This record gives sequence, structure tokens and C-alpha cells, in this order.
Amino acid sequence: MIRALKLEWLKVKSYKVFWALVVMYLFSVVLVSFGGNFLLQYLKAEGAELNGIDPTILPLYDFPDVWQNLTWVVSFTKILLAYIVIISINNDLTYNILRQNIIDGLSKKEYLLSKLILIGALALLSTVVLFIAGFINGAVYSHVFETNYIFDELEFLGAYALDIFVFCSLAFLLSLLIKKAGFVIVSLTIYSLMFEPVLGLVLENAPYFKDTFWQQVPQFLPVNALNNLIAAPFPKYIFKEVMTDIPIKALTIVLFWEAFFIGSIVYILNRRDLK
Amino acid sequence: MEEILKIANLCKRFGKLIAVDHLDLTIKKGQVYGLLGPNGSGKTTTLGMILNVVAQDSGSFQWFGKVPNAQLRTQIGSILETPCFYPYLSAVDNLKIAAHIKNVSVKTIEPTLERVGLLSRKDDKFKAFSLGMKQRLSIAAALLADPPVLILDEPTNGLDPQGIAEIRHLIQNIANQEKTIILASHLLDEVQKICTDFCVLRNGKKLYDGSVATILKDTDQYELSSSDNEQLKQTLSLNNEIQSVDVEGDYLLVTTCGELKAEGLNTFCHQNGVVLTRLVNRKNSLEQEFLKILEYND
Repeated sequence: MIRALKLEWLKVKSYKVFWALVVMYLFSVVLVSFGGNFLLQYLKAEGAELNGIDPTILPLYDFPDVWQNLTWVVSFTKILLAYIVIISINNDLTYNILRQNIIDGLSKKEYLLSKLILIGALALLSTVVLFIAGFINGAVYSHVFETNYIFDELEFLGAYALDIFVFCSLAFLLSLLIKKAGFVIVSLTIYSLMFEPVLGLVLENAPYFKDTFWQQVPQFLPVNALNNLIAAPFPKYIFKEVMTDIPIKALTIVLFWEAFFIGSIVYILNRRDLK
Repeated sequence: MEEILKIANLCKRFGKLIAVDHLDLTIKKGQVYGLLGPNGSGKTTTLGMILNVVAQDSGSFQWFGKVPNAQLRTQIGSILETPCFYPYLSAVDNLKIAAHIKNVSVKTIEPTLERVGLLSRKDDKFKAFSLGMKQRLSIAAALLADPPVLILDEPTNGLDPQGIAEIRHLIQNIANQEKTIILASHLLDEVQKICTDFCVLRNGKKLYDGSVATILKDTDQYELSSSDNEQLKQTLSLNNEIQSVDVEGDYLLVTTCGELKAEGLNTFCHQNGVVLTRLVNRKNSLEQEFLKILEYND
């Protein structure tokens, strides 16, 4: 474990592109986290009204709602972390580093572990930064500041970390399958931001598919399942009911996909000839 | 002698192409073993299999008499074809990764870089290196753990004559330290100069294996010349241990039989009043023998 961690550290320590991407990513997390009230003020200035309510009184950063609000919004930036993972795996393949590492005496298991540690570290870093951003915003704007409210619903942060971990595992698998980094980046972006969400909306809402088998399909697809981990929190501000738990069904589907991704990665690493 | 590597019945197919075909090979401690063969004869595939980066279809191999594992690979320094490093990292940072995997101290890095003549460039990025320097860096990576076994696949590929001479000198130095070296090459004079033993592969099959010294034994042919080759030829015709005399350019090619060797030829000519200006015993070259082996197996 320590050996794999140190290996990955030696690989990224002096890699400027990696650190530039990490800093840009964290900047985007902070920007989005702190942007809520500015967005509301902008909406007010534009004359928007939500059921006759002044948007700026919406308690976006109230504990514990802040956790669901932030994790739901910021989870859309996870694609940037996936890019870092894609570049890392792709470098190891295009420069034949993986082959050289194995020749030098690394086992494939240790290689897999080192990359999962990278993904885990990115997920952890992102979660910690998000926690700090949420805590600061809550400290400034929240109407309640009691410990039991602050630390309630922290499971959303867990779901957020899992979301990143599984999504980056998918990026890992795709990078092994398709050796062109640019192609993986474009296809993962189109698939996860457009193809699957649109397909999901069509199958779940189109009258043609109503009460058919197809209506049930989207929730089993990986990106939809990940998005279902954290329910969209904002309908509650127009007095609609919102799920404030992590749905067990989505969690089960996500864990199944993670097992599938890791299993496929192990299969490819063991079977593929590194030439 | 201790067996370092034993390959038994190793096979590998790529689709319809049989890359390695029931290969058996034993390499013993201290040997400098040349793996010869035309391009595409299965040399690199074989090395890939014994280093666990290419999966064999059938057959087996043992390192140091043990079933291979990652830990054993740290005892083998290897270069497979092109040097593989992160272009954006410095020489030292790249070697730190190799040192970490091989469980050796980072203190070994600088002496090893010095050994391959790259110490002054240690902080330069790999992408700034010339091909010769890249190749030397991969030799440094292979030497890091001071391994008892070295695998070198075309180590002089793409180098200039000076670079080739340097690498050859380096390999000879290493061979003198009782290390076992496996050298794949299609440059026959390279193998002839460095190796103690060799085998010939073609289309994944082993055609021949044996020691370099045996195949390069002396022949019964001598190149002779004097100030007057015509007179020399007449003199030589008096010796009944001489089978034939042929004129080849500015010297005579003499084939002897029986006990007549270089010393006898010299004495004979001297006694008959001819002073030799040239007396050379022809040796087989690996190239000739290699071509003979390929021809014989056609």
C-alpha cells in the first residue's frame, strides 16, 4: 500500500501538467461553492421570481442543506478529475511506462493499486476542499450554527467521494481500452454529459415509453446511477418534496458498476500483452 | 554450473503468426548469451514472455530455479528495445521510479549515472536527451540494483559508431564482473565480440545453440604472400601436405591437410629461400556460420 502510494507520488511529484490541472480543478470547486449567493443576486437583478419569492432569501448555505446543495452542484466538475486520471493512465501506456514498471519488478496488482490510490487521493482532496468551502459558506450565511445541524447529512460528502471514485474508475477503464487520450476525453465528456442524461430523460419521460420496460432502464446506467446518488435539492425551494437520503438502490447499482469497472481493468491488465 | 534461466516448450501466437514455437533454452550463470535471428524471428517476444509483459500460450520458464514472480524480476536488469521513460521528468526523477520499484536506495542513482557518463546531465529532462543518451539512461536503469542478470535487447540500436563502441565497452565491463547477460541482436559482429554462447532463432524456432568459441575455431586455410607470389606458389607445390593453392588478390589462399600449421608453413618457406610478408590463419566468422545455419535449415 505504502509502496504503491510512493510510486504514484514519484510519478506526479515533478509533473507540472498534473499540478496545473489539480489547481485548476480545485479553483473550479471553490468558485462553484462560493458562487451561490452571487447567482441569486444576479437572478434578482434580472427580475427573476420563484413563485413570487425574492431569490436572495433562499437559504442555500443553511446547515445541513448546504451539503446536499453543494455536492449536487459541484459533482458536475468531476469530469475534470477524470481528465487527470485519463492523462495519467495514457502517459503510462504511450510512453511504455507500465511495461517498463512490470519489467523492473512491479506486479500488475501493485500497478492497479497505485492508480486506485491516485483516484482515491483525488476524490479525498476534492471532498476535503468541498467540506471546507461548505463549512465557510455555512459559517457566513447559515441561519443555524449548532453542531447537530452542521454535521447532519454529511453522508452527502461520502456519496460525493464515491461518485468521483467510480466515475474516475470508468475513466481508468476507458483509458486502458482506448489508447488515445484525446479520444477518451471527448467520448467520456459527450457520453456522461450529453448522451446518457438525454437518453435517460427521453426514456423516463417520453409518453411512448411510459409504463414500459424501457422506462426502467436509465437508472441502471452508470452515469445516471451516479447522478441518482445525490438527489437534486433545489425543488424543495419551490415546496416540492426532495429526497434527503442516499437511495440504497442507486448505491447498489453504483457499487455493482464499480465492481464491473475494477474487474474489467484487472482482466485487461492480466490479459493484454504489453508490446 | 548454476542455471539462471530455463525455458521449456514456450509458445506464443499472434493470430495466425507463430511468434515463438516450442522454444527450449537454458542459460547458465556467467554466460554472455547471444540471441540471434533475423528481424521478426521472435527474439523480443521471447524476452517479453520471460519478463511477464507478454503472456505465453503454453510452456513455462524458471528464473534462478524458481517460478517467476515480480520480486524475482527486481533481480534482472532489462532493456527491451526502446528506452521507456517519462519525457517530462529529469533523468534522476525517472531513475527514482525504477529504484523504488527495485527496492534500492536512491544513493545508487548518482554512481550509476556516472558509470554511463550521464552524471552531468542528471537534472535534464529525458526529452532533451539524444538517442545515445536515452539508451545509456536505460542501461543505467537496468544496472541500478546491481542485478546478477542483464537482458539487453538491441542495446546499440540507432547509436552512432562511437555510441556503439561505448555501449559494447560497457557490456564487456559488466560481463567481466561474472554477471550473466542475455543479448538479443541481429548485429553478428556485436555478438561475436561479446558473447560466450549463442542460439539462432528463425520464425520462433530454435535452429542452433552452442558456444561461440567452438563455432569460431581455426580453419585449415592460410593467407600467404611474399615479394614474389609466383615463386611462392611454385615452392608451396613441393609440399605434399598442402591440398590446394589459390590466388586471391595480392595473396595466396593455401589449404593444408594433416599436421601442417602456420609454424610449419613458415619454416618450410624459409628453408626453401622464400621470406613471407604475410601469414594469416583464417578463422570462421559468426556471420558465415550464421548464414550456413539458416541455409542448412531452409
